Amino acid sequence: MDEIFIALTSGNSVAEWFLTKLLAALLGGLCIFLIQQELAQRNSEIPTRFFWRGFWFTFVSAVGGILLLRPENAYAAFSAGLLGWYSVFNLMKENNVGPTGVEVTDKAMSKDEIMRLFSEHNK
Amino acid sequence: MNTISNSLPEFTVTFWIRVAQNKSWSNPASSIRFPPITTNGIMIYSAKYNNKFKVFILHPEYGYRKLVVNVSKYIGKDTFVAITAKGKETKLYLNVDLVSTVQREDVVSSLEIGDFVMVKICQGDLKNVNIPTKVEVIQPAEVQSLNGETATFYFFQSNEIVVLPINKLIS
Repeated sequence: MDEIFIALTSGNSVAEWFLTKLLAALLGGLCIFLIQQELAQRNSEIPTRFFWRGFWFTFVSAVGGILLLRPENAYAAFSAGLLGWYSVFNLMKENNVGPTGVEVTDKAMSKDEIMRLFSEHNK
Repeated sequence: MNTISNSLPEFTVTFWIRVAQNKSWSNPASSIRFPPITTNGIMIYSAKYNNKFKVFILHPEYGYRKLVVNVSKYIGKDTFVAITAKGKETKLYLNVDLVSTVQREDVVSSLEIGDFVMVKICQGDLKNVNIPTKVEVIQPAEVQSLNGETATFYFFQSNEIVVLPINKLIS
């Protein structure tokens, strides 16, 4: 049993390579996609639909991870899939603080009053 | 559609969307859901979907309003947002330009998935909120799907997803 498992996870032949490395990398990519979705939700960002953007995210993560890190076996391929996109994602991450300088008044301001406020803030 | 008060509160809320603090604002293809603003009982949710900017105003007496505007002209620029509410009319100004006006009556006809709304809740509507008999509570929710006369609402304060009639919306 152990020998079969080692043979399958070693990724030495083409078939094994596809069955193990690519599959493991895709699984890693899917994991990072799910983690990213969770983080995005906490940061009030809009969740990505799995089809097709999420699928491409996973695929690029997996293939990118394999190409970047050239994993030797299925375990390393999983990590490669996990890290492949994440490293790119971190570079691309744009942080949005959101609205600032919030002010409220209990009357509906006229356009002139809004203009005055706008000019004051722009000084 | 319910209306809860004829003497609606009057207010102005202003804020900035600064490019330096919101890098995605410069990207015409970006989708941003800004963190909500809560002040003086008013909740403001705003989001940018490509060149469309949506603002939702939620208030326990005022109900909800949605203002949608094309922001192609403002993308990549610091933008001063002003929302004024008086009577049945709500106005949105961007950098002092009046870009959208909405009337109380127009709100429900423009209901879409993803909208933030105020919903009237009665006993038994929500599992996590215990409401006494004959008492009605108004809760903010996000529309998850529309199915004719009903809609699926996500009540984020009590973390519940419930299907309710659209006529429970408060404006």
